[in-house]
Amino acid sequence: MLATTLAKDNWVGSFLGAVFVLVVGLVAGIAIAEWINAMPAESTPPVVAHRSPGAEPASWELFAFILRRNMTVFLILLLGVLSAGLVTIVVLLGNGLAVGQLIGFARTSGMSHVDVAYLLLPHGVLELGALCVAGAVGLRGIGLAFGVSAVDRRAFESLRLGTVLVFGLVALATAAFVEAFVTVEIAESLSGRW
Amino acid sequence: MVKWLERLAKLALLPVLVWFAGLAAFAVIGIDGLFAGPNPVFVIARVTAYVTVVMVAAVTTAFVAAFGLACGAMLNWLGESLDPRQIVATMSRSFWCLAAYVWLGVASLILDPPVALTVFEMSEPDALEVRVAETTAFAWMGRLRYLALIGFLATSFWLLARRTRPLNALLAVSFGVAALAAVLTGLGLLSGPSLVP
Repeated sequence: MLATTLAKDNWVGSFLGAVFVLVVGLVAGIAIAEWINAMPAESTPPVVAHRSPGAEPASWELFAFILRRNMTVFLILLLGVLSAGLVTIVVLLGNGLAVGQLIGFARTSGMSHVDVAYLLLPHGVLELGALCVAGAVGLRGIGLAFGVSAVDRRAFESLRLGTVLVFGLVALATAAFVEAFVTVEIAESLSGRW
Repeated sequence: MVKWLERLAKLALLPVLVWFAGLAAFAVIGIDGLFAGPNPVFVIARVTAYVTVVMVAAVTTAFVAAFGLACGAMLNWLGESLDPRQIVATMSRSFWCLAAYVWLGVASLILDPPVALTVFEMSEPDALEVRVAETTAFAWMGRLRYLALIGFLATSFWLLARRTRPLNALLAVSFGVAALAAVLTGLGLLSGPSLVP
């Protein structure tokens, strides 16, 4: 039954479309980071951290912060339904670019591929997966925009926004928990290596 | 040529295209003016700023669509029979006010371009805010943004009132504003303040 529903509404195609856009952003982000690193270095003043020592947020504070920010992105991705998928494409590309640049700069600063994977994969798979689910809903806005005169209540009901929102909240809460409690520990244990 | 221009003027999405072209010109002059130079610091700043501008453009389009949807829902509830295409055309034509606003910004940036930040200023936390406040064009754009918004809403009301009862159009625009304010406030509260004090 679930497979029939997924096939009927072409959810798999929309999800793969969202993954594709994210991967394009990711590759572009890595390329930009490598391009910037290949530039001749000029004398630049040292960046001063404007943070008092010992002011690091507690894990629960960090969890709440990450969850709130990711839920905001999740909801903005859903706005693609109203903008012919435009917001979804741009936000997915932007997030891909940000993560790609992070990976690129980490690699050029001497971090190994395994360490980058340790830091990103535990929470990243769930977090980016949830964002791609929201992206799949947002991309369906393209179809809605082309048939705008035929848009009715049933077209919005087929988006299953309630299910998507509950899934997003659970998935992003789990990802934020892993990031705040596990990834931070991994980062601290790796900090001496590079 | 005249025929081509006439066809272009009839295009419902023309105001959105004019607005987007203005926003692109404003971004290029503003960003390249502030972050000029081959230093990697400026390259990163330029990339980040361009990505932000594209995101702002896309999110603005989505918010206007949400506003149009709310207006349409209210008109439907009030018993008006308006085709969704007419709502799209109304929202699109209201973009003329936003287009005029961004092109005014482009003109003022050409007349008074921003002074580029130096590498040393880039390491200061509030250098960008200070430079933006010092640039006349940015300061005036900040002051005029509410006027552009009021113009957008007034145009939406006027265009809707031509096809529906004026009171219904007024209620629809008011409901659209309230719905959009609720969405914006909700997203603002959800994202919350930064963790950095």
